[in-house]
Amino acid sequence: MISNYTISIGKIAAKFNLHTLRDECERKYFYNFKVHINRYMKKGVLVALLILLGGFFVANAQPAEPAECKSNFTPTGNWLIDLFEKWNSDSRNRMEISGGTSSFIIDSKTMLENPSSDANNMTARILSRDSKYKLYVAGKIDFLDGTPTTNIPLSAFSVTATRTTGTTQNPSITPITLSGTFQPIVTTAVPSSATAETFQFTLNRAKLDTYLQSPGNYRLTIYLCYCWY
Amino acid sequence: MKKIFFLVIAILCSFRSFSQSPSVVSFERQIAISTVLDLTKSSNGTLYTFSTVANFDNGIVRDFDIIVKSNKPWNLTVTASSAQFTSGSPTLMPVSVINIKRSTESNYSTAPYVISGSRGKYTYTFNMRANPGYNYEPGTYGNVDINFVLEPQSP
Repeated sequence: MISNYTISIGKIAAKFNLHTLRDECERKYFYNFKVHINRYMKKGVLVALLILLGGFFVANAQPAEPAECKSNFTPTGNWLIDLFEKWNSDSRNRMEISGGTSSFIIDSKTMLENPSSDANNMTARILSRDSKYKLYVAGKIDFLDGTPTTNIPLSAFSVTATRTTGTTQNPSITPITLSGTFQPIVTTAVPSSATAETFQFTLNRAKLDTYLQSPGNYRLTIYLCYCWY
Repeated sequence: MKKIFFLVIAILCSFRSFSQSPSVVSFERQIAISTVLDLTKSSNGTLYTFSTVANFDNGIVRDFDIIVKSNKPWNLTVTASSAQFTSGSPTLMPVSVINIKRSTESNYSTAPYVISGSRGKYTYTFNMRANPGYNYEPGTYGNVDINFVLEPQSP
């Protein structure tokens, strides 16, 4: 008698994060500390706050940016546009991203033993009139359920890009197998025209037929770096 | 003290700004993996025919493969559906005449037979031996199922 035992776990909605890190740091932490500093200004509290702040930095670690990216570009306004901020038609250098809400639900032997892909409208819209640019991608996997386990290898995921709008000549697009360091997925040889470039990203998952990853929820973070070079 | 505090915060924010400039954004995807256990068994026939002296002296051994796939620690239990084979003969044959072992083991066991493993994918070759000897009337003995049950280990 053959027993085939499967338990399904419900879908958990994906999140979409967009950070302007410098602004966040200044607004959320610097400002709040300034308001409340008199109340908590004791040595022990101060030390505790600094430890927490240090923990925040460590917890939010992301891959180091590629060395070839110019550090002195001075965009007009923020490079990353908040989801609620209007696309500014007179901008010269901008990037905004958007994405859907789907997740990878793996609830059967068939799904573990076969690859899948997720287009899901992950897009980046870029205007880069002052410099040629590259887009880099990197990834990170976290296990969310607390139990130590063999993590899903980042190499199980790859990202492909497709340009859907734009007129920049011959951007070089390379499929990337995700790793913890940034790798170039889009390279342009010239600045963009006045028309923004839009790239759509497809996330591909390889089969996970080793059965070494324990059941539970994992979070895949895909970092996208906009780089002048 | 206050100046020092603000200075430290400002320096840390500066580190944050320089080391992680705002040209990096992220997408997030949730990956939910359910518990998956799968067991497959190759055929080894269901009829053991004893027709030679060697069959009675040594029993009949059949081999088959079991493939276990599990992303949780697991137990595989082999049991018999009843304690005895039934037939028209007045002599009942106990299921203990059926023995089982993995090919890597030296000694046969009787049901219930249990093996365990951690998460992963495994292929085992099993040897199943029927060895009634000379103790039973000629005839056909049957109506016993050998069950293979794969379960996750209790937490």
